[in-house]
Amino acid sequence: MKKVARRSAAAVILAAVLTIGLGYFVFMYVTEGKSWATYYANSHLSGAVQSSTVDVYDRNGLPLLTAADGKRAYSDDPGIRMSTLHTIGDLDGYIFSPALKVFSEELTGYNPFSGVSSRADSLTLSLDAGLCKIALSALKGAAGTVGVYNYKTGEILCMVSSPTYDPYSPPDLSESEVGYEGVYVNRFLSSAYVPGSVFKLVTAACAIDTIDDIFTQKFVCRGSLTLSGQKIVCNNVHGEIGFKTALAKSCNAAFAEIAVQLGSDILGDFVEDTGVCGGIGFQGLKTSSGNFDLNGANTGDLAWAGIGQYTNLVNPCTLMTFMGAIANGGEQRLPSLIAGMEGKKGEQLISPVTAGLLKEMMANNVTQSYGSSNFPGLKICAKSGTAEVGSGANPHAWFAGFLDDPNNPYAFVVISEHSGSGSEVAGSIANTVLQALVKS
Amino acid sequence: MDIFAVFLADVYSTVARYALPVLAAAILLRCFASLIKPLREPEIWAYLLLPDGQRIPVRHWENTIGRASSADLRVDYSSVSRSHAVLTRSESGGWLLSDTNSKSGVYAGGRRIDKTVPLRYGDVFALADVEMQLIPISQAERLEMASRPQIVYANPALSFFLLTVFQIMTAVQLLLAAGEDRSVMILLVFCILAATMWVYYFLIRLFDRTGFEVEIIAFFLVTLGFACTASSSPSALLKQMVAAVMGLAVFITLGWFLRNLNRARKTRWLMCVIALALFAVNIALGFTEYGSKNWIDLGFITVQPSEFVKIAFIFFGASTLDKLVTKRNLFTFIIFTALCVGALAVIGDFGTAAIFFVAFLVIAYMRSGSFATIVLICAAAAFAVALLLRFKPYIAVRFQTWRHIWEYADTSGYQQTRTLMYAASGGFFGLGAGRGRLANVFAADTDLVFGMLCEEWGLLIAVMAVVSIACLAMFTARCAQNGRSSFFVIAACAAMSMFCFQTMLNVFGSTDILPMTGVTFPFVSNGGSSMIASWGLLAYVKAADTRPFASFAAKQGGSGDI
Repeated sequence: MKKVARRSAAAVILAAVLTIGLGYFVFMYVTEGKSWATYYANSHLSGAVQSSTVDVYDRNGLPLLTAADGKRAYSDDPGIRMSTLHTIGDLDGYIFSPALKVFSEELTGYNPFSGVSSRADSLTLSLDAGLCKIALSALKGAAGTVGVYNYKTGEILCMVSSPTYDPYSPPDLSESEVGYEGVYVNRFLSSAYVPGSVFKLVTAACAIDTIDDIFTQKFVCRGSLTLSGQKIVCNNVHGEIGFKTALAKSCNAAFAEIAVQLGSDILGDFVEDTGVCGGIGFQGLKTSSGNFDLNGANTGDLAWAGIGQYTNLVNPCTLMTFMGAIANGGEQRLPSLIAGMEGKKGEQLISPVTAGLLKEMMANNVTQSYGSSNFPGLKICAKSGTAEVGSGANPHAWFAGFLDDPNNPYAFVVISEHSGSGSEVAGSIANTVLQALVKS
Repeated sequence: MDIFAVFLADVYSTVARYALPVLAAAILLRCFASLIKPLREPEIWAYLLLPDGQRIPVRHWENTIGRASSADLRVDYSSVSRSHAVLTRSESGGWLLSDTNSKSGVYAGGRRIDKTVPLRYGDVFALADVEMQLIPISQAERLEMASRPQIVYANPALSFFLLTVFQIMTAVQLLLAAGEDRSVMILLVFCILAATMWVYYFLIRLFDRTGFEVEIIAFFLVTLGFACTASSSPSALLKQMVAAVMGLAVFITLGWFLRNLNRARKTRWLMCVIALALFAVNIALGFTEYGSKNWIDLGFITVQPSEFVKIAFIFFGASTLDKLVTKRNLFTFIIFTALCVGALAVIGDFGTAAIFFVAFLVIAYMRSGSFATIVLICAAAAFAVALLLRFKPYIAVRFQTWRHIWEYADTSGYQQTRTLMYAASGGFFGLGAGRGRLANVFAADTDLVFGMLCEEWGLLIAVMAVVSIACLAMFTARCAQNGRSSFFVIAACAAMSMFCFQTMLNVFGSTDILPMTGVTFPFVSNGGSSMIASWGLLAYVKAADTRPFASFAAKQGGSGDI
């Protein structure tokens, strides 16, 4: 019996393995529980706007989504309902809710000890809903997007996507797709546009890094040039023109030549490294990716890519953080949608020297081309874009940049679809929004 | 509901959230404390008187006699073999002496014995040329043993009371969380559970037994299981309750049956036939559900025969010491195991096949003590598994998902990711019975029940549930030290090994520490066959519990039943 009794250790070994395995589980639970619990499918945390128990407010405490009589209630102001729809989401679940997503991801209070029961039951967004309303009305019904964020803290103050609708009276789109026009898409986070001339900032940054004598080179613009059989037309006949003025005048001829000087490999690597044509991720949100592909491109294609056409695409939010990086001495600050929560520090996208020179040139753009008087009181650095989107269609108007002002550290992007001139149309929208922001 | 009622419900839920783990800890700690109480001096059944006047106490029902230091009765004379003979106490209180193929033989009544002879107190017998006698314990000793203070276990009535409070609080939690249409069923089931428990308690008290720790742990796990079933598949609650009552009946019946070792060992071959017959019926009539053909339909109810075979498998595998020492080979048992595991492979239930295999390893090791054999068997099994993966590619898919569930989070890793996600949502104290979301995932209250425990009951109680299984295994191994017969010791250890391994497959499978196999958590998972089989296996543990006045499944020792 002694021997048999001793061999009962077999049962002890199994019990020990069970206990050790359980210990391992508890260890994983404590260390990885948060990432398990914040998986998007966890219906305790995310879920549809309708079933959500989270109250959402803007940075000034304005209610955007609250509970009333067991139902979800939006703001009383229709302008605020419409301008924040793509942040909050709709009642039918057609529109993704970035607010509930960042809530479930950051969940401010989750810890493995108390589980989701310690989650906050409200979320204060970094958005200024009043500013969103102003931005939406400034778009004057055009499709497009306006985004503004604080490039020091990463807080997004304005995120507007148009077209939009009042969540209390959703459009009936089941009949046809005609009225759709991407109304469910958050254009700021989930679209990619042809960048047009705003992309010259990227080409310029690459040139500053790569071409030693770029500031002393002279380019000759005769209104158009032909490369690999492709005719590249400029917006004017600029004659002999320097680098800085070429950016201010947005000279296609000069930038076509710069792109050719850089070559596909160098420009391609630079775009890849800065991530301008990629997507970014923050607080569980992922922006759409852009596009930059010079595979099999000839010299003409390369020139078009350097001036922001060809197959180039950028996501508005990603471009906005690139603007922020220029303002920040080259260092990227990722956005945050939660009030008081800083966005993560990103990478050093460009060198501080390059960033400084670009900033100067962007300030010069305003004084030399767009007119400082159009932006009264703002220390604005910007680049406009008028992106061709196919023959016959009115081009998209772009305006992107930042305020070089430590008291107002804001970067912005404005796109007004099929609206013509970038600096005039989009620039004026930017001014309206920034004036309101700086005054508040 | 008016505001005051809502407020009361909230207060109750908050209180219950913290009170339930405390209550659970109190119940289980009382059980654990009793289970690990120092064992009393083992029972003494007789003495072996050697030529030099040395009196060796006989402490088991089965004892090896020999020169080896590992012999139960060590007779250190050079002419005696290392393992020479086995002395077995028969059911009637008499003794049997068996020669275990010794070189120089065993002599009784002046003749070399062939196999086994009965032995009376005072009879002179010899191992080789060493003469000895078996003498009874004296009247004084008998009285002394009988008058030893009875070991006081944690008062079982109080433990049962605490468990009843636990059950009531659980039922209220469920009532608050569930829709009104469910409330009658929930109340009914929990009332019957509590009533069954108390009837059992008073019934066993009639037989003057006071050890209830093993059953309390089982009832505790059953309570958790009912709550998970109520939350995830309320329509199965009544069936589960009937299964629990039937399980308890099986437990009592089998426990009573095991009291008589002779009766038990005579039934071994019958068990073998029953096991194989069950598998034959399963293969012939079985229908497939969720990938394995392990169900048969009895018209009014569906059952999983393989669950019941577990009980018969252990019964056949266990062996008394005289057989174990004389018949060293495991040939028949290996054939039997091969048939069982083969049948499970045909059925396609590989999780259960693995459980049988582990029980086989434990039994084989306990019977032979040979690591070499075990290693050889494991190598053969590894080869078989390799073949299996080659020919059953869908099993290999499970292995592909293993440790990569987040890459397949919404496809083949769906169940595991949901388990982890909702387990983490529960925190240490849980969200409250009936308030979980994992409940809506397929197999939540069976294969994924550990996740439900974490989410609704909290990590603390989920851990307690697993630890209580481990504790039962530790207790069984301790009891083995005072074991009467190797039959009980092997059966109990094999049963606990099955429980442990099954719990591992369930808990670690659903949490991606092991590949997902889809087996039940003993007593907790929703499943009638599994519930009844778990109670059946627990009877082996009860039969090995030799603490005085503890187990109804073990006859009273020392002075008592002789």
